[in-house]
Amino acid sequence: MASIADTTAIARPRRRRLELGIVLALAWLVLLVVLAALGPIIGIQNPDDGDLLDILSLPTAAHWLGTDSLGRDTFARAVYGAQVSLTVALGSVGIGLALGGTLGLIGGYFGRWPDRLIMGAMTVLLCFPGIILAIALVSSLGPSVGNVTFAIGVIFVPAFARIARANTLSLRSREFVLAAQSLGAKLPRILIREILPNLMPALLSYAVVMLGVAILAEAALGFLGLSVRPPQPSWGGMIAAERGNLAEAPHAVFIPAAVMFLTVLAINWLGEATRRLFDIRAQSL
Amino acid sequence: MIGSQAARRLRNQLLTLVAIVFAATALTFAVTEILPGDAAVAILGDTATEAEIKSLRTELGLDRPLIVRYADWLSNALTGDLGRSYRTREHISTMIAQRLPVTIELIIITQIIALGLAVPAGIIAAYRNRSGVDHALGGVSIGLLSTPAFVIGIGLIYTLSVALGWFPASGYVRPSDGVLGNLQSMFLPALTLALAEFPVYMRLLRADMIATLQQDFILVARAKGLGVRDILVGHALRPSSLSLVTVIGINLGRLVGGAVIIETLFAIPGIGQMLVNAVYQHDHFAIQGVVLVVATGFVLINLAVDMAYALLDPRVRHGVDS
Repeated sequence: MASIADTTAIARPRRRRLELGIVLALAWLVLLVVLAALGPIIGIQNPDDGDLLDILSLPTAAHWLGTDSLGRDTFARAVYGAQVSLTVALGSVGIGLALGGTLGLIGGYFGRWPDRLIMGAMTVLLCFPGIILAIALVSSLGPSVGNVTFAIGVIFVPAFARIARANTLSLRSREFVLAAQSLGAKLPRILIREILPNLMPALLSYAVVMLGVAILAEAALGFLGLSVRPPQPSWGGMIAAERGNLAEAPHAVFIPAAVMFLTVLAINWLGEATRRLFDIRAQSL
Repeated sequence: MIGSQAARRLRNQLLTLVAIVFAATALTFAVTEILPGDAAVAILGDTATEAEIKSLRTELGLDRPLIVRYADWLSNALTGDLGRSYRTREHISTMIAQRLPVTIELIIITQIIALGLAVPAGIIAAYRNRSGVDHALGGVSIGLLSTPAFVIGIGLIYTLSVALGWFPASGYVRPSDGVLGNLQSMFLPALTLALAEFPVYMRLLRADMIATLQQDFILVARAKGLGVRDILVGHALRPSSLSLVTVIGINLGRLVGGAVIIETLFAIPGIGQMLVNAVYQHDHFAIQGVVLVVATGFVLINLAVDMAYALLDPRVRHGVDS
């Protein structure tokens, strides 16, 4: 999380070589998104239907990923859990990006008291271990996809604000900004048309990484019972529910864990690739 | 040597400390305020009548305005009185005093394990940059970064506890009941948190170390004929550890957050578990107390980190801009 703030400089990508890892990561994510989006349409069974005669079964032809302790199909639950994870990830990163980016842009461009005010507020927010703030927010607002998204989005704001501010500071006295100012460009134009596009590489490569962090945070909340309400499936909730059967049926815990692991791994893999693309320090090594 | 500049910086930081702790506790007070069913409802349960809830709210002082209650809490907190738990009527300060050492022990063991793994790994990965070892360590760290701490914990429970039976799966042994048993009960949770921190530390140290190894004084050391170990550990490690030290400080907040989940998973009675229970039970003063301790600790650590800079980098010590 910490090394991201260094990505101030922007460089052209040297060459685009499609690595196998990136292809696999993209394929996994596309598959997941398609399944999550089309789940009910393409006939994936109801994730709440349990067959109590067939509990904790290993993967079979009927249950591709086995069943849980209530005989519910793990594959169906993983797919419906993906809906939750992906919605929360995209939504919370969107909130962090929009809110944090705006605050950082304003603080960095205007400096002086707006900057001190905004960065002071961000420091206070950073003082909370993120998950604690999220726990407090979700437990006060009630567990639902929207509230979990909001809570995780709020804890992302300071980091995005810091990145946007640091980059704006180095951009605001660059020639193209001075040129726009002396040509009499209006303030919104300078901020949105001149500075914002140059912030995007740093913000977006950070956003990719934060998608993975958001999925992990949602899972942690789900593990504590603070994500969606049962029986609606979430990956963290699935793992928490089967934790007691670890000795007899480890697959009931580790299969949903593996789905989550592969998803976050794929996102991190793409994140590394984007970071390499934009990070001049890594390229010069 | 502490010049006037250093003294001024210290004073500014102490002021920031006070401001941050103040703001953090005010924010928590406001956040816990929007909890729907308040403490009175939580204590009496769903079956309580409106009148019962109302009288208990008056008894607990919940009917007074938010600002008054915060001012009240703050003035008490300044004298060391953090109030009592709505649930158990226990003093919050006593609860924290019992539980904080457990969390601190967990975090110290975690940091020892994490640094014990990450420093050698970071040095090797930097020295053998882009070799097989480097790529393997990079793969391990991206894998660990992609796994939530509680899954790492469950994985460790399954392998080291359920399958091999080396460590207890959960539970906590007080040091007074045997230091060895205590360390044994702390090992799995600490290893879990350490494995989650490992990639962050390793990657930072590796990146800084690679930069350091390209500097002239390393070339000089090499030209003097010093051994690889002397150069890496004796010359390169200290100037490469600036980011690492910063992040160790920042990470303490993250670690407390991780401790919340891991203490719940392993049934360790630290302040993380106290916080989760307090949130479940709408125990406002307990939440407030934990946040106060965590925020204060976080800011103090950052102050210490800032001072540690001076020891690591002579330019900071002498107030020279690099």
